[in-house]
Amino acid sequence: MANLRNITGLNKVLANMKKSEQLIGKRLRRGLIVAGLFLKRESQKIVPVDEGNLKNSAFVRPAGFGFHSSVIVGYTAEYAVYVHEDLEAAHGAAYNQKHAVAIEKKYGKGKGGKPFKARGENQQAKFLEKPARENRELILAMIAKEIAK
Amino acid sequence: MNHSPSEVIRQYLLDESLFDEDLADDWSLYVDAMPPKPHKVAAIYSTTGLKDGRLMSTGETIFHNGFQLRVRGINYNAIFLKLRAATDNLLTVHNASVTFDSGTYTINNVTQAADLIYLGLNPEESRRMSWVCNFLSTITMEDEA
Repeated sequence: MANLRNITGLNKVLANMKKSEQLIGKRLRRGLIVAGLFLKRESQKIVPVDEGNLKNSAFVRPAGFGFHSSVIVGYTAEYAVYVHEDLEAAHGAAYNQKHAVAIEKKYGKGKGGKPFKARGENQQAKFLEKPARENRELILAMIAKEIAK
Repeated sequence: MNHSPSEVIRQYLLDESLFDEDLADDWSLYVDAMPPKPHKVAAIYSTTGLKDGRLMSTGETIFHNGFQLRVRGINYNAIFLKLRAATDNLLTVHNASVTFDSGTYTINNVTQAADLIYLGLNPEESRRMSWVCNFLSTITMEDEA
């Protein structure tokens, strides 16, 4: 039976583990930022737009380093929460239908006979929560991919 | 399922006597819409759910249904307390059985997704204000009559 008396190279193993920990930590942070930017982009596709203040207030804010990294995706506009949570409000196609006469009266008709300032049809409340939940698996895969690079 | 998750949750809250079944009374509970009157009403809205993978033994996909509970009224504190009471009750749900129309459903659990959110005064009706809370739930249908 083999008798293990002496282990050599343990310091080297520990140094390598520490180095790879730092590397994976960096990759994790990068992955979170990539996923955050993706979520912001998906959110921007459906965020309600009137004058554009809400859409332009979107941010992706990384915090911490290595394994303590986190990324916050959000909107700084003060009324963002209200628009996000108010499921009674008409957005997108529903807004265009509800206010069709008023929009046309104010802005006139654009190309194709549509009101000049009609809102994007996909605009809706829950513009951040919805893409986050729908793309959960994709977001996790993005982070995993960056870590594995 | 023959009913939307919001309808099942509504029935559960009515069974628990947290809201009034008569739609003409105060604190009646609606699904996916709120009437202009009376002032004091609540509604459950369906929101995006969360797919949570499959069970290895049965292959069943577990899906958590999202819903939002919104309470509207003219007294800030009364609305908050109403929503707080409903939230506290929902958080105690553990395999609760709900029977209505032709089906029996089991609400396996309800998870609060975020804190209670004050939505402020309704811009079109300055006296009225709302509080909302978001949840995720797991609901299974037991049988069909």
